[in-house]
Amino acid sequence: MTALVAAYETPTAPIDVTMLDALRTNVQARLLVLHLDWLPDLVADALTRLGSQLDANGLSDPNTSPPTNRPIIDAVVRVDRVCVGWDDPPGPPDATKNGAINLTAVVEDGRLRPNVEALATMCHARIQPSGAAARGSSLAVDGFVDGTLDVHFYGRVPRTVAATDVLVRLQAQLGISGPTTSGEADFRVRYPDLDFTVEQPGGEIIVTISTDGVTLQGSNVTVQCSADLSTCNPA
Amino acid sequence: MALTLALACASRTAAARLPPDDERRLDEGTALTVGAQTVKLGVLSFDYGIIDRLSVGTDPPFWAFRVAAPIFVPNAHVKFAFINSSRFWLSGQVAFYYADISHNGSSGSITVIPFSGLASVGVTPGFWIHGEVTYDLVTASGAGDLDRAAVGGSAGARAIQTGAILEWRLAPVFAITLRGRLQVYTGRLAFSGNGQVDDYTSATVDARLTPRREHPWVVIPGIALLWRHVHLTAGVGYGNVFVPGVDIPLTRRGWAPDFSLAVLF
Repeated sequence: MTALVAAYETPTAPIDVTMLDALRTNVQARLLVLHLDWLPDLVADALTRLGSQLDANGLSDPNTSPPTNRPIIDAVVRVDRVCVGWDDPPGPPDATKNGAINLTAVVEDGRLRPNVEALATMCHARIQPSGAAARGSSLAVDGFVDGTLDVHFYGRVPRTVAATDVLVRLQAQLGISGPTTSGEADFRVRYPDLDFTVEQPGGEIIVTISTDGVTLQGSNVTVQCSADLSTCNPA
Repeated sequence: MALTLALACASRTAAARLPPDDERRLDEGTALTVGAQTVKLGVLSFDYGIIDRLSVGTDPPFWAFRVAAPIFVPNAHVKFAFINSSRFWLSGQVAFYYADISHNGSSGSITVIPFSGLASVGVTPGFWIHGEVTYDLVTASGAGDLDRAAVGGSAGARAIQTGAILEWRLAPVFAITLRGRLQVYTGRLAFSGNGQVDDYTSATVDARLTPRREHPWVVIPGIALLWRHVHLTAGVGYGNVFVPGVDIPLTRRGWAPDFSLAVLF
């Protein structure tokens, strides 16, 4: 996870401004695979449950010093969340039908490790997108994820979806109420903004989706694009 | 020299009038009991002596704790003297404290049972040595607020403590005391439990609490005023404050007060 964190710090590949059309195509293809319109919301929602458990058990966030006048706590915290399903009928949730997300966090010397593992098992969830990648759409998405997720916290474990700042790496099968794709993917959630990387000759560039549009950040230049990637110009 | 002589005379005079089984016993932290058919209402302990060898009681501060913090700590203790001769007492005391640390949908509790062996020896009629060995048995369950399991930095971990009180009775109602306490062994407290956070979410916590100080200690010189119906002990020393009753030491080391006031009838 350390190498991935570093990859999101600085772009390693240059952008050839004469080949922006090809790059736009690459970015759009990557977006289709990542499902950023709903997946970050699902992950962030699960993480807020972990945050509430830290509060409930008096445990410290990553990157914060535990109080010195308290005992040293070592702990393993596991949060099991049944997914809401695609129809969410009345009554108790059906874990067998809806699937689940299991989060495992380790507290060492009173401090939560900044990396958390999660396992999504046949998780069906109707998500109301809220991030920048949803582009203001209020339509609910029926998402599906099955696989493993590694989460790195840049700051506190979020107590609300809007406070999420994490890097997510997943090896999973993903889809929306129909065909699914499987593979590895990673993205950073800085609500409401989202970052992901796209491989280019010489390394990777960083793509940021914000409410202002899409930014392509190369090692040599930054390119500002419209939200639908129809136009791009060097900044 | 004159002071020493005066204290020696006072001690000898006091000793001549000080049977250890009278109502002026220093009964807190010693093998001595409160006495038969005696009710003691103190700021640290309510006790009743059923017979001279046997007393039962409870610690009111833990009940009052509910006012300041959302933790309910019912508790009780019983002390029995196996030997209660004029110059030697040997007693056992068992206490029970239960703390509910449930919080925000997580349930959890801690039970603390201190087993104490106490011996009091009258080296001379006016000079007593009180010794104590305590084993704190702690069991915990659930996944409540782990931080609440701590009292000022020390988890209620399993521990073995030794304590001693030197009591120099200078007058029938007045004694100089020197109290000391050392935690010779500190264990770790393990938690395991789960809770339902909401309809969709459950949480499991497996935790281990380690106190920051493994061998806390305290030494407190003081006085004891033991009138027939009022007992007052006070002192100020240095070290870690041990919470009376459960004897859980606080992490902070510094000036340590000792105070107890009780009415007996």
